[in-house]
Amino acid sequence: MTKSNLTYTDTPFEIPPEGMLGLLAFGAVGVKAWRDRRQQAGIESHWEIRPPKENKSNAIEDFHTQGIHND
Amino acid sequence: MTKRLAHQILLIGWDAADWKILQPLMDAGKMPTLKQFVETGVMGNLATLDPPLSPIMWTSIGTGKTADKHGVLGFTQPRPDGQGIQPVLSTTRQVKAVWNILMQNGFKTHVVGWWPSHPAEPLNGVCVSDFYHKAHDIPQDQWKMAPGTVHPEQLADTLAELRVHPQELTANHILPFVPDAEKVNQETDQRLWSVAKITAECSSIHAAATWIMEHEPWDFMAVYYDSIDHYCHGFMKFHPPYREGLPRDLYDLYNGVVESGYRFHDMMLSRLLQLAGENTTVIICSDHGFHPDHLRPLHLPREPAGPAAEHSPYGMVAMRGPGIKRDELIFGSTLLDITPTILTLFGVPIGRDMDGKPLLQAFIEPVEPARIDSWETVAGDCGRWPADKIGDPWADQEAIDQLVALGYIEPPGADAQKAVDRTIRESKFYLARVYLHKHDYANALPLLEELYANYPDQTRFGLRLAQCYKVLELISEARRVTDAVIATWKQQRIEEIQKNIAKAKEAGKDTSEMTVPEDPSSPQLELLQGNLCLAEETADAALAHFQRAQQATPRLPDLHLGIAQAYVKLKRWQDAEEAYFQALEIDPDSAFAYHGLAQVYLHIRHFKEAAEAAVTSVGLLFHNPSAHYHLGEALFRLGRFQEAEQSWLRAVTQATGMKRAHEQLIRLYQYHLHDPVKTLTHQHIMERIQPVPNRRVVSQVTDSTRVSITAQPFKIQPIEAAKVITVVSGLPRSGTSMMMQMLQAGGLPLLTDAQRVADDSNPKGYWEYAKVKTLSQDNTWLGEAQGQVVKIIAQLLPELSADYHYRIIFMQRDLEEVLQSQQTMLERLNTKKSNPVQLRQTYAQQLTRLATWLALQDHLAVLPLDHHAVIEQPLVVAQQLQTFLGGPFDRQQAVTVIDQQLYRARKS
Repeated sequence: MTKSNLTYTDTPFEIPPEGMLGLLAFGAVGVKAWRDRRQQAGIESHWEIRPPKENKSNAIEDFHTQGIHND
Repeated sequence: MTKRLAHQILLIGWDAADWKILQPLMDAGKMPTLKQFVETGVMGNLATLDPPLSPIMWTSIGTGKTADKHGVLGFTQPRPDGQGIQPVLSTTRQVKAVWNILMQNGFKTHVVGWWPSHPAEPLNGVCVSDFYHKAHDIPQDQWKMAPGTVHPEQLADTLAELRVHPQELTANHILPFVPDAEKVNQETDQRLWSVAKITAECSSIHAAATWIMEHEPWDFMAVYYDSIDHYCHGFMKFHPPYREGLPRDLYDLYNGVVESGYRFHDMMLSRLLQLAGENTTVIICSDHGFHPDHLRPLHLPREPAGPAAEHSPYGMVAMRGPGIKRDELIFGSTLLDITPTILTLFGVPIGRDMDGKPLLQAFIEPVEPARIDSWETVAGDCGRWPADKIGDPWADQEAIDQLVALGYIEPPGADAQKAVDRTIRESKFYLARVYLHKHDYANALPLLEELYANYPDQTRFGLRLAQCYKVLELISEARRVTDAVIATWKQQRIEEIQKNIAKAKEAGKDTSEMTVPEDPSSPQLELLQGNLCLAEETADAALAHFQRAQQATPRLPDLHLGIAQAYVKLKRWQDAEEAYFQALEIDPDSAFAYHGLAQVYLHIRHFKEAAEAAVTSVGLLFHNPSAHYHLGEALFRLGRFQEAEQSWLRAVTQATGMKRAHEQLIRLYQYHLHDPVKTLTHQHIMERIQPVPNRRVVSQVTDSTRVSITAQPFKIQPIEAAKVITVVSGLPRSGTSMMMQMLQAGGLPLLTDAQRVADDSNPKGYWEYAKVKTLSQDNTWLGEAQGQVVKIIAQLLPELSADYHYRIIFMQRDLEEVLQSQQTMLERLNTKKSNPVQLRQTYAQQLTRLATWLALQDHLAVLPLDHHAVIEQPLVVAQQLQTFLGGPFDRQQAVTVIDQQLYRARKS
């Protein structure tokens, strides 16, 4: 891990290449800082979160974007 | 403008945020930013509207108007060509949003992610549409941003880079939500993907918002996060406390997702407040709440938008900034109040056509808001799309249906047609519910009657119709519909059980315990019957139904309200009071229970308690004229005349025709406040109050029956005149076939086929080309039309490819004549007729939009011709045609085809 000049509460903190929720909450600056750090560390991919394949039975219905009709 | 109280305003939308979750998290120190925020500002409930569907609600928040005015009626709408459905768009909104009004008043405005806001509006600041963050299930390397997502266009690449894709997230992002994520088998359980998707999408919105706040000057900034609602729809069932019936392993895995989602928003809020600075007025609000407790439904209704049953009727609002009170509660707010409040804070007048009010109780100093009749009629650049882009998809669809029926365009495929029909059906139902919520039963009734007549299997339509009949005191009608609904429900229940048994048998399961009940019932059915008995003034019978429901489900929401009302009718005041307390024990925020209690206390002359209960009721649900009336009555009995006056005035503001409130006001002004002018005013109002109509009177009709298309030359001259496509256009039945014959007789080659043969409606033929009907899907054939004449109806002109040049001869005819001729043709075709009043308005709107569109095109020239003139003065018209066409044209031959006998639908 390296030190960054990014401050969240006036205290510099380390940016892990895997990112952290706090960086996303920091907005554009946080996202960019994480991506830079990730690139520095040479990590291209990430954790194994897989999009649904065929069976979406227990995926969350995209109720809002799709406007589900189940009748 | 009046005094400006706010330097800048940041409006933050948290879809579905609910104090019932926020409060305990703040108390536990888990949302420190919001805790500090409310301690330095005001907070309160924000009553939602019905139906509680987010696109409708957020448009009401952004406009201060109900959906019957703003026109957003659900999640989807028909496509302009009628060939399917699409999400609701920024162009669906029929009125100005607060950002449009502010821009018009010189404020720099930005909007991020508002629903619906695609395509991004051309504001004087940045607009990021609600298509920006949606990753759907597209892999990261294929995730493109849709055109029109960002305004101004030059920021599109910068902001696209800031989007976060779910696949980008790592364990570090997911573990705070699901600490045992490694135990999840992603082959069978996709919930981790859902957490990642929701988190990534709201991070995208947040990144865009923070970038704009860092890089652009602003006066008003609105940013909308849909994520709390999405975390809740996915995971509220796992939120503590554990409920019986839920798989324990899933509960253990996911019980922290909702809380973590809220805490993530607190972290994001911290950054927004940091960027906004101390001097900014900040408003945080939600459109509805989300039941986190025993009121969570165990099953979702099997109907469109069924998950909305998880929503609770109270959203949240919190506000802080210069001139705003500190650490105080505010009451009686609705989501319609946000726009009037923002305008008042900026010193901009509120439109009298807005349905909300400014939240003045939040202000330290008294403010008298300025008002104008409407912002809709105030001209000037406000960052809205031009008129030709803004459409009414519901009315347009009716016009499309008419064109399909007349044979001018192809019907959509079976699936597309089904989707379109269903979308229209639901939008009508939502509109009816909007009217019901506004106590506008006269407008709700015809919609519900039509829906229930067309879809008798949809018991939800029947239930609302029966409710409407009850309010209009059409009790026998209510009984008839309720009985039919019950019979349908029972039949459907029997069929469902039979299906389940058959399925179980197929699967080789033991079905000996599964039986089909002869007369199925349910607590909800008993509740329904009990409520109808109440309307029929048979309180004993009502009680019997309610008691049966109580035996099956003692804590059924709303049941105890019914029981209490039955006791009121039986004058059993103590039992009624007890029943209302039971209702409050189940739902402590029931405005109706407090209202009922107030009425009980009035009966037993406990006026102080009555006033307290009524105040609590209107504090929870402000828009309830009857509760304001009873509050006024209690205050009057306590001798608090000025306060009683205010309550009764609120009652008549919310329900202008409320006779009993006007009567009380007259008495109050006459004998207690001694104000003869106000006495007279209300006496005059009383005289003008008409009984509530139970059928809609004829809808408003525009006076204009003619919309003019203007002549225009080519702005860019065609390179080869011989390749220009000549188009004869106009509304169906405006003389287009006659013009085709004239042009042919004059020597021009026509592109037609013989597919549509002459009939009584067009004895000389239609002169059509079948491929035109599918122009919206396929315009590749246009090359064949070069140098020829083709007939294309007005509605399809915007589908013309800009690759060619066109000379458009546009036939104009009085709309009344057009409609009369179309109706006659439909009669001949023996097909359904449409509502001519609505169609006339729709055609007029479509032609107005078309006129704007035509004026913007540089590759076409237009010659408008009057149908009447072609028949009465054919030689003059032939001369005009020759000049317009610019080539050989035999005028003498052309006029020979005019047959005045065929001018049948002539307006007298």
